[in-house]
Amino acid sequence: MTASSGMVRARPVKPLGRRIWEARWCYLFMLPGIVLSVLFSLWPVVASWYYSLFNWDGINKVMYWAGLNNYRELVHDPTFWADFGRSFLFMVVTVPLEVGLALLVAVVLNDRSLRLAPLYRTLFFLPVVMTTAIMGIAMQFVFAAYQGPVNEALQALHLIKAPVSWLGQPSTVMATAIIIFVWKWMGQPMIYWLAALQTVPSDLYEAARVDGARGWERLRSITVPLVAPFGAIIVFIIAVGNLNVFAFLQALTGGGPDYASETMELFIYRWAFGAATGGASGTSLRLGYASAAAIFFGLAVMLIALPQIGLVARLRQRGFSLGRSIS
Amino acid sequence: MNDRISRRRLLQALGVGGAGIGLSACGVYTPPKTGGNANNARLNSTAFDIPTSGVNFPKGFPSGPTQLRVVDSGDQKAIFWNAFFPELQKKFPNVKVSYDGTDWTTIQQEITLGLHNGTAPDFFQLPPTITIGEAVNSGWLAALDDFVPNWSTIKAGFPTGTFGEGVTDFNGKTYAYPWTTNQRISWGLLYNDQYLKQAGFDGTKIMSWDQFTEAAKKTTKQGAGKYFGLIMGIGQTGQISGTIDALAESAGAHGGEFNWQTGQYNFTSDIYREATELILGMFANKYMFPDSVSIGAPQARGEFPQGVAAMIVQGPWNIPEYEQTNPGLKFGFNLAPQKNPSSIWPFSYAPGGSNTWVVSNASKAKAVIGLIFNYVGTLKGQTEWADYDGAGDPPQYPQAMQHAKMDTISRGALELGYKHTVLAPNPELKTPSYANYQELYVPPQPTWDQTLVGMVTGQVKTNVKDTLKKVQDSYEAAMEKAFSACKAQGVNISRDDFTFSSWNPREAYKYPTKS
Repeated sequence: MTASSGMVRARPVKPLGRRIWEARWCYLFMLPGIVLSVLFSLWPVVASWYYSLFNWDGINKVMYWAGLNNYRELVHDPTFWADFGRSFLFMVVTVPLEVGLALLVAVVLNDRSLRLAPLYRTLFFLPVVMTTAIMGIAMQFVFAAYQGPVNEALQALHLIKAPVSWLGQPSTVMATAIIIFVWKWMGQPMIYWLAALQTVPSDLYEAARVDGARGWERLRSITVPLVAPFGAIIVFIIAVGNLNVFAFLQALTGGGPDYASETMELFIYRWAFGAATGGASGTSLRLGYASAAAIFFGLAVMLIALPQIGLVARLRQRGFSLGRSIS
Repeated sequence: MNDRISRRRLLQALGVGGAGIGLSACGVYTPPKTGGNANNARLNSTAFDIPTSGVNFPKGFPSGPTQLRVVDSGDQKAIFWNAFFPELQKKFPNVKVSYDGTDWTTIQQEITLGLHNGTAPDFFQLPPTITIGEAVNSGWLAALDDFVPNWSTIKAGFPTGTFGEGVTDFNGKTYAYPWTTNQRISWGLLYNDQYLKQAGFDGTKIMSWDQFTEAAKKTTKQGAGKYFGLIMGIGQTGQISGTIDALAESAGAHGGEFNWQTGQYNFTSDIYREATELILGMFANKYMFPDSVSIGAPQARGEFPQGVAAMIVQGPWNIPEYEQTNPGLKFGFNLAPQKNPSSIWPFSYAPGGSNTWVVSNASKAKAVIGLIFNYVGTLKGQTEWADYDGAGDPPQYPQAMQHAKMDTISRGALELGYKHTVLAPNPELKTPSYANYQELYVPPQPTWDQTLVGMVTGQVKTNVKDTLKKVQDSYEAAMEKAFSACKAQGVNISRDDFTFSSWNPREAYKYPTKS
């Protein structure tokens, strides 16, 4: 290729206004989405940054300038750090359990020889669609110390001597919440895994069978390597989701007892909308303080989300996508 | 009106309004056919005598279609409204009422939102986090003087302490209407008569703290795992602290947590230590219903009539509910156990009332509200309120209670309220800066209630005396910090505004009122 032949005549760049006009229908159809995103996503974020600089209860018209005091106070608040750590601990424990169990179940249910697979798929997925608040209340009864079925079963099996207040003791509440959470949400990654598993060509398994590979070897050598890229995406989706567990914990424990199951979202809610104390003790609403905590937490979640974005982009370059697998 | 309804519907469509606003779009008010809270007393109630003319009838009462939207915290109040609103609609077919007796969480969210965006109901209860002063300053509330017929006469008929400048009144006008009294026992002992008798105790006699422990011990033993001595719902904020505050106040910790005589907190007093140890002992010795830590007050009071505990420390509002839903339950209501039953200090209650209704400044149904507010302020209206709500939410007029039809337990609870409560002082009466103080006050962490839950669950490991000292110090420090913050903002308020050294805790505080 000669230099002259390589010279391509640059296309004249149209003015911005003209390009927008030509794509006016695209912009018009995007407009509602943009407006809603600005109103319900962007504006609250910007407002939180602003509110975090004030002593403000979120109600009164008067806002008292606080500068960075809310952030300073937050850094020295042991409850904040405990809740912050608990949020990530919850995520770190639940994600492998949820994703790992879901993979095992999906592998089993992906076996076409299993006649009742659709029924089991439905049963595993049912808790996902169950209303979180109702599930939380129901689980309070299931795990109750007084005539709770879990305690009665464990006592009948002689695993415990006396009923345990699973949700009423700081030492057991988080473990109990994690078990319930994994049970409730495991169906979601299971569906993702099933979608991913269906992209694995069946002739690979047949060839492996002919070669004498056993179930575990087929899983290790064929299934896992081929679905691993999907796994990365699933893990990150579930990880970010498991940091947002407000409804679940609020319905199940309300963050108690004694904050033992309080995560960052409950911390933010407590300060932003918590109960008044009255009398000499005034009110306890501090939207400014809650906003500062929300910003901290938001940045932390972003740190988790950023690699996800990078990873998804990289996988797309390699031709992977959950959408493709589902289709 | 049309404009307001369409905005409401828009909000509903956007899903912002939730249940309460959703109900507002239901149109004509129809009371529930099987209201679980139905009180036996109301079956005997006479018909409402709502005026259609005369001095108590508002000028400019609408003749065209008028929508009235009412939101409050329901419970006993709903029993009255469920009977009253259909009668109102029958008398004035052009008035359509939408009543939502909801919970405080919903009130907190929806009223707060409604006030900010101009879609608050016509009359409602304010969320506890918004003071009346804040709402008045924000221009959200209407002055009752402007539209309630004969307001000055109605107001003058209420007992001293119902209205007060800085409490219900601002700049000489009344913005809040507390027609139910605080003069009730909010923390009494509801007991299972059968269980106590079997254990050798008589619930009709006020128990000492020792007897309380002994009764809990014996009933737990006789329950053999099927029922326990006491049930609480300390998963809900304020339940364990409220119980201990009540035990301590009637034992001589004046004012409860905060001593209005000295302007200091009471936590380091021996009485508070002993009351705290009493309740902690109930947990430590397993006399307490085992799920008491993880449940809230509604669950606890729902469990009690199922026979899971011999005693519960709660309010008289449970009485009609228990009678209605558990007719076989033999129970009684008495004062909470006393350190010294022969010397009981009164419970102090704040000025105003147990329920306070306010009117939206934007309401277009003020004349209808004027009629209702006038009516519930008459002896007839107050008596009818008492007929329906009894001791749970008693009206302000003592003479209304004498006329009211109610069962023996409710009447007994009411009489205990009159006998063992006194009006307390309040800093709102001393200084308008109290509203600023409330805004700048940062509650200590952990709070008194959280500390108690921490002690119950073993998270707080220091002894009771040292723990209470820490609580006292943190609360005093929080107050001082709020004073400093006020000073920095140019707001003049000090400890003196919280000190009423002349107050005799055995007598109602006599405070200046313009009513």
